[in-house]
Amino acid sequence: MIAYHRPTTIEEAVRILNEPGASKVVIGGGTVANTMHQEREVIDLQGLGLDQIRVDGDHVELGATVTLQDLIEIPGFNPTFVELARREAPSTLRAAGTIGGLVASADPESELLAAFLVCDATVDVVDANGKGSVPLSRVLSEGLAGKIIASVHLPTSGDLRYERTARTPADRPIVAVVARRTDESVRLAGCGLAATPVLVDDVDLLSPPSDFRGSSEYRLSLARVLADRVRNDLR
Amino acid sequence: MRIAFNLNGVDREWDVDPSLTLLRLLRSEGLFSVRFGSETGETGAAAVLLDGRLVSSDVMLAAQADGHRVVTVESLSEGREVHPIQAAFMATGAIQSGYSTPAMVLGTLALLEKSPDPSEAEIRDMLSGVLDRETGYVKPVEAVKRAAAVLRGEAPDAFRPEIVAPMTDGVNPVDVGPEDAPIQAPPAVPRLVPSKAVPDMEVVGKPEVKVDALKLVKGNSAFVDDIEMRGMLHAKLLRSPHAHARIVDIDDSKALALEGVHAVIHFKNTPKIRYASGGQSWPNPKPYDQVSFDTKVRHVGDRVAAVAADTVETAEKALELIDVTYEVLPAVLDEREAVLDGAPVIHDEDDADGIFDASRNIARHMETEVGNVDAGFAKADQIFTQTFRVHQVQQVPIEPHIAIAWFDPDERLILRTSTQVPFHVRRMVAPLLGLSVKDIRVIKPRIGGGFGAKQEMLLEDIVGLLAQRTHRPVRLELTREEEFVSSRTRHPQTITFKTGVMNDGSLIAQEMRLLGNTGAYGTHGYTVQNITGLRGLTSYNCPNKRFECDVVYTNIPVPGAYRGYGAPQAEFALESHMEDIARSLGREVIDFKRQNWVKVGDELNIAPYMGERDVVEEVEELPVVKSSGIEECVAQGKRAIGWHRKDDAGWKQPADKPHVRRGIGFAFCMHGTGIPFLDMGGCSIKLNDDGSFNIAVGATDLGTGADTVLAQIAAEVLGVPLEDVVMYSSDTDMTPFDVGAYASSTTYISGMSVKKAADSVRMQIKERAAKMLGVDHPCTIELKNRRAWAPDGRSVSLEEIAHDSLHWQDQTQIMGTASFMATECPPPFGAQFAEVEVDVETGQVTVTKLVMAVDCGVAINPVTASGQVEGGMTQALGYGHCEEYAFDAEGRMINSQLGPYKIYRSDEMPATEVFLVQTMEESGPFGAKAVAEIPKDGVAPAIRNAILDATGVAIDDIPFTPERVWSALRAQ
Repeated sequence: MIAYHRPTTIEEAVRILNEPGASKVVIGGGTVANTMHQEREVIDLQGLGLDQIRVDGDHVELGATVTLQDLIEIPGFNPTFVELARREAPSTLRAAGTIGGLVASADPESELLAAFLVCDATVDVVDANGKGSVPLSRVLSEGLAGKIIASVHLPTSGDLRYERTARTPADRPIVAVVARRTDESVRLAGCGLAATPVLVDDVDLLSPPSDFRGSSEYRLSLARVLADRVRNDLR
Repeated sequence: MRIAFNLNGVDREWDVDPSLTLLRLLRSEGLFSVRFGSETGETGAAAVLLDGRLVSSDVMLAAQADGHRVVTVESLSEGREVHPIQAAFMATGAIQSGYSTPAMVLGTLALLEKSPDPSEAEIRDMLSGVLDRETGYVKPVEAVKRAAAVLRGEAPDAFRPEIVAPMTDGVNPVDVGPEDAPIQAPPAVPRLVPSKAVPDMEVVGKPEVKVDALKLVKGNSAFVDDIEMRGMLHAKLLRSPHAHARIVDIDDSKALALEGVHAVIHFKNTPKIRYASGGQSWPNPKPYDQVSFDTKVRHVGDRVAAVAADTVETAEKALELIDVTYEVLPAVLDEREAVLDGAPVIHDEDDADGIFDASRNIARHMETEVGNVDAGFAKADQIFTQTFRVHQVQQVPIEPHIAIAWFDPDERLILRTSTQVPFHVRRMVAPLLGLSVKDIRVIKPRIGGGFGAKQEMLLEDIVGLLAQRTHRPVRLELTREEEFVSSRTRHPQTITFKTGVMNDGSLIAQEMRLLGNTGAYGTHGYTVQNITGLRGLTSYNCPNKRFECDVVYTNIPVPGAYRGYGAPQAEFALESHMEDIARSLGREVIDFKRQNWVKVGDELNIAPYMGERDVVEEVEELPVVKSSGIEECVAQGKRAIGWHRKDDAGWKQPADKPHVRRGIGFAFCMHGTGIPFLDMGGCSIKLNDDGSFNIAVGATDLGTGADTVLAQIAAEVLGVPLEDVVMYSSDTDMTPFDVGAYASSTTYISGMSVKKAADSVRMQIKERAAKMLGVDHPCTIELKNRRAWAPDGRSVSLEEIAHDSLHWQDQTQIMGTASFMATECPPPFGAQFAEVEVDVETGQVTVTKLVMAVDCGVAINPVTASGQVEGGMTQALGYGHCEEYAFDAEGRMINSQLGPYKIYRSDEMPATEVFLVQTMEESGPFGAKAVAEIPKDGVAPAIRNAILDATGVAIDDIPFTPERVWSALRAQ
C-alpha cells in the first residue's frame, strides 16, 4: 500500500478514486486493511460525515459509514434487521465494518444484504457525473466501478422472516432465505445461492454454486425447505 | 505521513508509513498487550478500544486512528494494582494462556460503561469478537458478570467449587430419574464431588488464583514476541504451491539483490541432515524423513526457502523474487488411496532412515496381539464389524508459532520460542545447526496455547540457520494461513473395529485395524497411531485383542500431536461401535458398556505393548486399574443431562417444531496419565532470606495452569501460602530437564518431582528448626503457616530459619532437587453426555448441552482443572461438529482462514456443566491423575450417539456438518 487518503468531501473521494495510477481501495470502517500487500491506495471515507442515520416512518436512510453496530443500536429498529446485522460479524468487526462496506462487498453469504434486497433498498452513489440512485440489486450484480456509496435507502414496512442453515448457530449460513410480506405480495431473497445475495422468484430456476460446505444439489434442497418455512411463517 | 491520536490519555503524533497497521504501531510503542492472532481480525487478540468501542487493530491502518482516542489495557492499572475487571478475571479462572485476556478485559470495560448490568447474551455478544481456544468462554462470561457486580458496588462471594454430595457408593450404579434435580449453580462453578479418602489440605484442592495471572491480566510483556531486539531481522518462508513436486532449481540472485535482504537459505546452501520434527524423547521414533530444506516438496505449504530481511514487507518481496523451477508430480491426499498400487511415491529419497515401505507410502507398520484373536472370533456368538473415517483438524492456538534466535555475549545461540518442549528442541535442533547442546539455550516464556501443535521442532532450525548466516537476531512468526498449512494438525484415520461378543454381552475378541494418515512426514505418526490403538483397545475388558496399523504418507499438511494424541479418533470409533453393538443386542447402552468397561482391579492386557516408546520390552506384570470414579461420573452426568428424557416422546419430537428431533448421547472416556518409563520431569527449590521459595521446573506451562498446580504442591509440602512460592519455567540453562508439556503428564510426573524436591527441602528445614529449637527429633517438627512447630508448641518462622541457615551458623543453602519418572499410568475416567437438536429437513445439528463428569483423582486446583475440561470439551465439540480441512483437487487448503475454518465463538456455545469426581490415586501427587486430554475424547461420539438417539441414523464419519447429516438422513 502506497498512500492513504482521507478526503473531506465525497466529490474529492470520487476524484481520487478515478485518478489514474495505482488501484484504489475504498474503506469505510476498514476491516481488510492489512491484507493489502499490493501497490494500492486507500481512500478512507470516515471524514465525509456519512455516518448519519435518518429514520422517517417506514423508511430509513443509512449513511455509508454507519457501522453495523450503529444499525443495531437504532432505537426501536426492526428486530429482524438488528438480528441480521448482529449475524454479519463478531463484535469487534461489527464496530468497524460499515453499511457501505457491506454493500460494496456483495458478500454472497450476507443475510443482511438479502434482507436489504427483499426490501427493495436503493443505493445513493456519487461518481464523476454526479449523484445518482441505483437499486441495490443492480449494485450487487454490476459492481461500483468508479462510484462511491453515499447512503442506502431502506424501506422497512412489511413483515420480515428469515430461515437459515449453518454449521453452527453463529456461523455464516450455507443457505439463508429472507422473506418480506407487504400488502401486495410476499417476496424472497436468498444467500448462498449465487455469487451475491439474490432475489428469489422461483427456487427451481436457481443454480447454486458448490463448495465444501454444501453442494449445489444440497443448497437447492435447502432453498426449497427454507423458502417453504418462511412462506408458511408469513401466512 | 503524519498522524496524531490520543493514546491511553496522552495526545501523541507519529510519522508512519501509510501501510502500517495500528497493531504494529501500538506494539512498537511497547504496548505488548495488543497481540497478533490472524490477518483477518476475528481472533480479537489485537483488540483495542477506539473511541470506546472494541475493534481489531490488526485489520486497521494506524492512519485510520488519526484524530481518535485509543485505549489499551496498559492504561487500566499501575504496578501491582489491578482494575476490578482484571481482578474478576483472575478470581474466576478466566485466564488460561492469557494471550487474549487483555482484549476481553477491554471489551468488558466498554460493555459495562454502556450496560452496568449486562445480560448473558450481551456478554457473549461482546466476547464474540475475541476467539478463545482455551476456556470454552465459560469462565470469562462469569468474570464479566462478577466484574459488573463489583462495579455496581456489590460484594460477590468468593469464587469456589460447589460441593456436591455423591450419588453412589463409588462402586455400584444407581438409578437416576426425573426426581433427581440438577445442581443449581452458575456453569462456571465446578461441581466437586468429594471422596472421604481425600484429606483436607491447606493449598492443594483450593481454587487458588494462577501464579502468572497478574502479568497476563495486565498485558505485560510475557510472550515470545514481547521483546525488542536491536537490529532484529524478520524471516519469511517461501512455501510450496504444489502438493508434490521436485525442486529442479532455485535462483535466489534477484532476492539477494533486493535492498534490506540479508540471507536466503534453501537446499543449495544448507546442510542436508535427516531428522524427525516431533518433540519426543531420545531417540526420536523413526522415520527420519525430513531435512531443513529438501529438493522435494510434499504438501502445499511445505518449506522451499527462507529469507531474512530488515522488515517483514521486504522479506515478503524477496520471496517473490526467488525463482524456483518445479517438476510437478502427481499427489495423493487420502490414506486409503496412498496405499494402492500405482499411487505416487512420496518418499523416494534414498537416505531416509526407518521408513517401513517407501514404495507403498507406508512409514511404519505395527502389529500387536494379546491372547488369540482368531480363536476368540471362532468362539464368539456374534461378530460386529464397522469402519469409521475421522478427518483433519488443527489445534488453532491463538498465538501462532513464533521463534526468535540470537547470539548472546558468549556467542551461544539463544532460541526464544513458543514451544511445549524446550529441552527436546535444544537437543533436536543442535545437529541441524552444527552445534552442541551446550551451545544452545532455549527459553520458553508464556505460551499462547499449543495443544500439541508446539510439541514440535518447527521453526527453530530456520531462525537458527538465519541467525548463523547474519549474526543478527532473527524473528519468524507464522501467519494464520501458514499455521493451517505448515504447522501441525490432527491425523485423519480410517479405523475398522471387529468385535466378537458372547450371548451374555461379554467381549471375547476385538480387533482394530488402522490406516493413519501422517501426511508428508512421519513426525508423530508412529506414536499417535499407537495411542489410537492403545485407547481403542484398553477401555473394555476382552481376553483377545489385536491391533494392526499402517502409518501412511500422503500429500496433506503434516499431522502431529494434538491434545488427545490419537485418543479422540479411537474413542469416536470405539464409543460409536459399542453403542451400535448394544442396540443390536437390545441392551441399554450404559448397562452394556458397564458390563465390559475396565474397573478397579482389572488388568490392562494390551497396554504395555502399545506405548509411545519405539522399543517394547517384555513385561513382568500387567498394569492394573487402582482408582476409578466412573460410576459416580455416570450418575452425576445422567442427572445433569436429564438422561430420562431419552424416553420422553414429547420432548424428543416437539409438537411446535415438526422438523426437529432431539436426542441425548453418552460416551465412556478413559485416558492415560503420562508415559510410564519414559516421561521424566525435574525440579529445584531453594529457600530465600524472607522464608519464600524459588522453584525452577522444566515443565512447560503453555497456559494450562501447570505452574500454579506445581506451586500449590510445593506450598502444601512446605507449609506456606501460594504467594510465598516464586515459579520459573522453563529455560534449558536455568531449570532442570523435563520432557515438556504433553501426554497429560505435567501434574502427575512433574508434580511428583516438585513434591520430592519439596520433601527434601522440608526435611532440611525441619533439621535446622530442630537445632534452633533444641528438639531432638527433627521428624517431630511440623511446617505450617510459614513456621516450623515443635511438639510443645514453640516455633520459629521460615524467615528466621533462612537467616540462621544463610547468614548465622553452619551456613548452608537450604535447597532441593529431584526428578521423577513414572512406572505407572493411572487412567482418569469420565462420562460425557451431549444433547442435540437435529433439523431432519436440512441436516443441521445444534448441540444444546454438553456435560462431563471426570475422575481426575484429586484436582490440585478445581478451578483450573474445570477450565481444562471446559476448554477441552469446546475443542472437541469443534472436532465432532464443524471444524474440517477442505482441499481443492490440487491439494490446496481452501479454508485456511478462521471463519471458513470454523471454531466455536462465545455467542453460540451450548450450555456446559463440569463435575470433578474425586478419587484418591495413591501413586500421584496428593492423589492427582491427569485431566488435560480426557475432555477431548468423548464429545464426538456423544454427539454421534445423540443424533442416533434423535433420528435413528448412525453416522460413522465426522464432522456432523449439515450436508453430511442430510445425506445420511436421506439414505435412511
